[in-house]
Amino acid sequence: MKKSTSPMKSSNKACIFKWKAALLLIITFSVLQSCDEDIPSIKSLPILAPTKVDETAGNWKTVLSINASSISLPTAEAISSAAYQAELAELVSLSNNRTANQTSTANYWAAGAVVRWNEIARALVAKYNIAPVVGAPANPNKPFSNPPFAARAYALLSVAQYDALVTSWKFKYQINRPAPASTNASIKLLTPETTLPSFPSEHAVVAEASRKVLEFLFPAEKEYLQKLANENRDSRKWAGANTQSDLDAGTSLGSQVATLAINRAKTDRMSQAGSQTTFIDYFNIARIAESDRWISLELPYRPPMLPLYGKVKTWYDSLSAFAALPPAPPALTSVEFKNALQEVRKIADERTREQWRIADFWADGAGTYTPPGHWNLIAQELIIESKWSEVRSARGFSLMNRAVMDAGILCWYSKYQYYLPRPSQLDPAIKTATGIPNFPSYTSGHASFSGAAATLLAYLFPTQANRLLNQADEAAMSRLYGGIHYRFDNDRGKECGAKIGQLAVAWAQADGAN
Amino acid sequence: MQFKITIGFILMVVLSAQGQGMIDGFMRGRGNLTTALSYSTESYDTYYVKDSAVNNLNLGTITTKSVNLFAAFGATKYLDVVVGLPFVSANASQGYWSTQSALQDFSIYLKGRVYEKDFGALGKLSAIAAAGYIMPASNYVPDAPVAIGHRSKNLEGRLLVQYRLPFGLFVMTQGGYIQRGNITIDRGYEVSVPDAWDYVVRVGGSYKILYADAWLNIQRARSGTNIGAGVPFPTNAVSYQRAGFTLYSSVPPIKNIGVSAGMSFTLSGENIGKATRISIGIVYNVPVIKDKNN
Repeated sequence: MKKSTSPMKSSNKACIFKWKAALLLIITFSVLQSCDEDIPSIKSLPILAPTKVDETAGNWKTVLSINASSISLPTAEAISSAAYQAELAELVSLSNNRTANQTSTANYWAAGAVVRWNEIARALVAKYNIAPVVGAPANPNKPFSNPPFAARAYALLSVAQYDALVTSWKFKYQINRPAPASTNASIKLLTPETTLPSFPSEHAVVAEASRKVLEFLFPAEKEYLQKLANENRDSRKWAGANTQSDLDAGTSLGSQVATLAINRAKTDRMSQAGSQTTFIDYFNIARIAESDRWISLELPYRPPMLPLYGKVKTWYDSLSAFAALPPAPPALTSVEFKNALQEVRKIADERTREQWRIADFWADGAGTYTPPGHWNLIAQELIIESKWSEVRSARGFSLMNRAVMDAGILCWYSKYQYYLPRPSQLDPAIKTATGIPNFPSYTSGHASFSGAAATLLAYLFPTQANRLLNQADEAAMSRLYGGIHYRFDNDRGKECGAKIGQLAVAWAQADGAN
Repeated sequence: MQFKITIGFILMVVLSAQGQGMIDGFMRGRGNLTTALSYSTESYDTYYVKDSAVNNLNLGTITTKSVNLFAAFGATKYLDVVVGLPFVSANASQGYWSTQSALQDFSIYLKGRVYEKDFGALGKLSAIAAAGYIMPASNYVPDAPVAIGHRSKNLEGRLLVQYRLPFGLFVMTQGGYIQRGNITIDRGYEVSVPDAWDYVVRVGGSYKILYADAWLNIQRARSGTNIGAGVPFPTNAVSYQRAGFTLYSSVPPIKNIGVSAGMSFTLSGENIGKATRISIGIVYNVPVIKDKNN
């Protein structure tokens, strides 16, 4: 190797130059590597500065008919008391010595407790939205957060938040303790000044109500949720917004209301929704010719999802809700049905890239926050834009999520009542742009959820009504584009959802918040 | 001289057809243009979720077929330009996922010989550096269980050392880094496609009109997620060890045309199909300018 031959010597100069090129390449490597393409896992949101404090919200109608006199809170010490003065002194010290971490945590939660806990719930739903192995025994620590489960989770969470906040508003204006910074000017406030009384802390109310409800739904997340709730409360002291006794009272109130919400959940018949034996008789599946019945298209065969979810307790009046039950679908032998099936086939055969995009955009399948989660994201953006108070934000979510769940209940009832095959079961040449959900076709869950959510949101945000209703139309159509639903599944689902949405609108018109 | 050109244009077609990057250890020579057309079929019924092998009866066997167009041009004695464009179609034998077919990624590389030392009868050592840019050639779907690619824009850097022994034998080793940009998926948000390190070792040689080689390719994702419950995703950390071989023969009496065949096997991997691949190709060498100094 040491021997150098003459041709080499003659090109020595060129060699040196080219080594520079190599060096340049190595530098390029390191630049490539250091390129920062990180996508932040925490979304930065503006600090909530509500345009209205909603001082009369204590009189708004609660969902669980909370009786404030049955809620016990610790005594609020007088402002002049030594105990409270010591709490204020603690805030002066904490808020003037915020570390960078504390500032960033305080900023995170200052976007709004309701909004942040809604985000946390969506992330948990996505984490648990994984179908269990076929035949595996149910594991209460690993719930399958499929769309019906998720609809109920979001509803329970936002009902607990809303009822707890309404109750806290009642106490806030009864006790009337001013915000700490109004009493002590040395507190370095991170959040905007407010006239909202601070006892009990609305953040602590939401933190504890949310923690308890989410722990009920996702028991294995107990420690994670406790950590978040602690952080949420601490953030309020770092922000200079609440004293320890404000937070303790909020925690107590949130806990008591969450217990009421969880008690309702324990008796809403969800625990029987997965029964794979009784639904056959309940819906008299035997009356349908075997060739016309839905079958699972999964291998191995998977029992259908939550066949008795249609019997779960509704949030809005159940008689009014069930008046919206979809009519029977066209008979499989009818021309109408054959045309509908042919339409799915045609779209599947000629699917455009844009149709695929729409199918994918609204699919919200395995591993995601589900379609109800998608509507929570849409609602969240509108709520943030509108700068609503915490209690009004919770009201919006609660109105919507109750409607979304009820629409899901009716949709599920219809799915098992009619047990209609998916398009690909009847025509295996229909290829899809999204996974085929493992339950009957009629009506579309996406269309039902979306019809309900958009109708209610269009009422709450009238300037956005057109856009919201178009979004619901697109979400419904996405299932036809995907090749997994007939057009009538979407149309009837959306109509049913819209009727449930109207029940929510009627509730909103009478809850005292307008 | 004939040896150099022959091996050069063989390698280009089989390299890309087998998905191990487009850079070989031979320069085209100034003015020489090599074009190639190849066809590959790759299939798997087993894939790795992280590193455990699983089957999915709802997908069955996934088969990917591709037609690949390549060209390499010797701009100077030291600099080649290499381009490639495949059309890819992926299909699942079971279940109902739609087949995906589209132009996949256009790639362009600048490849420069940065060092060469001739040991006379003992052989010749050379080093080559290459930089590539890869961009999607269509708006294909990157996040379905049956997908044809990641649709990311990539920057790639490679450094390659080759030692050519007498009697037409050679040993080549290369290392590269692939920086993959974020993509916006149909769901409406941006996700990060993991970067990767890539290494290739190849030994081969030629005798008269025949050529053969064997290679090992290792790719290691630098970060990323694991496949979640049967849902592959562009953020997955894809790593693998593949091995393969290549055979080539020119077609006398037309010395500028050759045919190649190759196979590759996935030995192990993470978040990728355990695929076997077969490729065939036809190579045409277009001498545009004859460089007597080459």
